[in-house]
Amino acid sequence: MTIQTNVGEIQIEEKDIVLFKQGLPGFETLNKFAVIALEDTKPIQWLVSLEDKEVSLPVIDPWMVRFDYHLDIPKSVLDYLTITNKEKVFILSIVRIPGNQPEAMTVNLAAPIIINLENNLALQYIPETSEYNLRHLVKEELERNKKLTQEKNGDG
Amino acid sequence: MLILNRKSEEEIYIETPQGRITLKVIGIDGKAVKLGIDAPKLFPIYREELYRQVNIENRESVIKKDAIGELSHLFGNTQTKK
Repeated sequence: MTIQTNVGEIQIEEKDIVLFKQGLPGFETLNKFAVIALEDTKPIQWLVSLEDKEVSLPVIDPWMVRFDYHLDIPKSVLDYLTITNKEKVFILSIVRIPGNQPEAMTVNLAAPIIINLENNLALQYIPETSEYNLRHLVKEELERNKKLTQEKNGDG
Repeated sequence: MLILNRKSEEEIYIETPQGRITLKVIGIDGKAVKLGIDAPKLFPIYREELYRQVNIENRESVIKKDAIGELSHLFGNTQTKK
């Protein structure tokens, strides 16, 4: 099917549809989304609503902005999404781009999107406590990655 | 809004099609009330202010129409290694 979104006209198939039973915080009435990769914005992908063409959120692999990111998915969430195979789980962090200034881009590492690829059930997981914040400056994270990677390789 | 008076150790049952949610007043300390919640596993439970913060973040993240063209360069620089 073809859908209109704020990131353009996109083609999706039935199997790409991801279901958020409770919607997302801020978009509680929207349940059907798809994750779209666009060549022009790599590595940012887009979580697009199939029910409201105005709702497209930039998302990114959290390990790309913080290579040592870690996430413990509690049993309640595994049960909620009926995750039986942890290899078949897709994690994404929502990105915020204030004033469309890429330099000001922040990423929400505290409350990631968790998708069970075996049944396409999804949830934005909001842990009661997290070592991460709702806003990490992407620029700083990338600098941190670079620094730590160089130290590791011994050429920093 | 339904308003009920409860003392410490007293409970409220909320019956849902997916099972019972039990709210228990564990204790009261000044203005702070400690609540215990038992709910079926399919009910995510959030503190309102935490949920509200995520709500704000998500709504601020939504991309405006035609804004997408401006976004490519931050990552573009880091991906080309010498």
